[in-house]
Amino acid sequence: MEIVASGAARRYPRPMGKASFFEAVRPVDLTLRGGEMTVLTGRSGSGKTTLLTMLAGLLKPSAGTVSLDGLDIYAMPDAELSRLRARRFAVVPQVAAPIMSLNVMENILFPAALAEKAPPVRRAEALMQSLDILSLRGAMPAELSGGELRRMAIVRALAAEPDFVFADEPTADLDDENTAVVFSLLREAAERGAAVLTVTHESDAYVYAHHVWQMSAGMLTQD
Amino acid sequence: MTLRRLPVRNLLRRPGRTAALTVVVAFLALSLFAGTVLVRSLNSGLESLENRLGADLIVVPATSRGKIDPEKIYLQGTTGYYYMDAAKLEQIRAIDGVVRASGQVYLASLRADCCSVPIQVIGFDPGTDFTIQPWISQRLRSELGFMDLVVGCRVNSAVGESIRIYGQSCPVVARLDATGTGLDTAVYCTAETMAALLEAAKDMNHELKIDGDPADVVSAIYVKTAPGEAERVAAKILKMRRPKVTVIQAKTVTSGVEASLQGVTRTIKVMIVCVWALAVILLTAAFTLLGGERRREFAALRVLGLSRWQLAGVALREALYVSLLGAFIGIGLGLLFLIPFAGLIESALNLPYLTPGWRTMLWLAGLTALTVCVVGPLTAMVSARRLSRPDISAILREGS
Repeated sequence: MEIVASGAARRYPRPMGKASFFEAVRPVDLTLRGGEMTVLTGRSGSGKTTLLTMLAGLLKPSAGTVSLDGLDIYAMPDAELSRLRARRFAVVPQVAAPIMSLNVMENILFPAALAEKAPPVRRAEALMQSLDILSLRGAMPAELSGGELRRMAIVRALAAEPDFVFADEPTADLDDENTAVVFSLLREAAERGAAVLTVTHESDAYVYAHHVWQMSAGMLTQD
Repeated sequence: MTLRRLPVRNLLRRPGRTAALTVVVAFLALSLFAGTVLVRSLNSGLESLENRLGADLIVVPATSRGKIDPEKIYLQGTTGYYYMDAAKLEQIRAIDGVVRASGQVYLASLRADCCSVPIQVIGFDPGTDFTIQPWISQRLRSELGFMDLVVGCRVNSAVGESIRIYGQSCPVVARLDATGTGLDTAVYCTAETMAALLEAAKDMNHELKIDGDPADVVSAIYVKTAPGEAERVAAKILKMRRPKVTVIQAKTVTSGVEASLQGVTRTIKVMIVCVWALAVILLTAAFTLLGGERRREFAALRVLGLSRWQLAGVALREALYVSLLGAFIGIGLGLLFLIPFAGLIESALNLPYLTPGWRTMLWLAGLTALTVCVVGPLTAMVSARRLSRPDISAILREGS
């Protein structure tokens, strides 16, 4: 079980320049394997999030491919790729993006409903307990702080036990204690068999990682 | 929590926004439903008037010229007291091109001391009549007897009750279907009964200006001519002397009404188009603005695994539920306005107005709901399409 980026690159046209492009990610080769946690680090604007979203099936590369077990995911029709994301992928986005009309527990169980899986209530409660948000299970997203929303997003990603976890700065709004809990939960997911990719500026994450990659000006180098 | 329930939850989360959208849709449904029913009622009224008129020419005494407004007779039920010698009827029948001719006698019982209710009485000859008889026969299978009355639908007397007219007690034997015209406020009897009532009116010193026997007078003669002969026959009637008469072409009654009706229906149609254009612009703008506000939430749904179609489906179902609710409210308000106030609308428009039956109302309500439930989601389509193709990576980046 692996996701492989082969020569995956992404460039954007510059708004003012004719035939001029900004290379957000230069051709990258990267493999994410089940059972491994990969940490991606680098300066802001280096292309980390762009690479993560390409690997997560959310942004088609301008060049190269992203394959899941040998199948080019961007060759799939939207419905099939969406189904794949719902059933096997989980993403913790850089900004907390809750479904505003659902309470915390409903938000957490929603991906399982989309994937037509049984609601993982017990696992969700255990994860919420670990991140100290169990008491907020009935609260609405509008009532939560930034840190609470972030922890809710992490529980939402991990509750349904996905095969691939993509976490973009998952500890951005968290204190040291919760940061440590989040990285250990991501490591646990990897040990359970998932392929985990974490984009972070936290050097604390390195100790949990099987691989650490550095990005600079759209290029990938291994630490 | 399933995807199917998400649109309802989204609508319930923002009750103010949902209510505002529902009001716009309800207004749309109300304008379409009420406007369509109004136009249809006016057209039915005109059709009914044409059917009831039945004659090509109406001949009235010339002395009454200026006092007789044929539109008043049919639209307001105002008859009057004008009479001429019934011999005129035979003269007219003898004219080449006349297919049928039948007299009618009018009597208004406006004085409270004479009668139990103020009514217009129209007497006709069942043997020769071709305008009232076919209408009455829909409700009265047997022959109309002496002193029997048939009442228009808006006369406040039930079958089996009696109406006292100039001291005479007249039983009501049938009640007619609505025409949406002044004919609904009149009562009908045979010429024999009318002669007896005229006699009774004279006995009560009611001034009727009848020279001679009340049984030998008519107020108006209804003439059916051979096709294309109406104008020639009218000219011949006008040349006759003793008594001098005025000839009213029936089409002048209906064409006058038709012209007014066309004006009213055109205004209603323009109003419907304007309301719809405004509502469609408002709804499209509202859904687009709301879509912008919810870009991040929709991007999150894409991240969780919703396909473009599923995402568009969420937006469209929200619009559909708002449309259904709005259609229900709009049509309900339309019914509350149109049914109890049909009489007031008729008086205000001064045009024949015949509200459709419940089956037609139901059909129009269904058609309105269907139209609104197609247009509502269509206006949301632009926003739904835009939302289904977001640059998720950009939206979910901090500060985007």
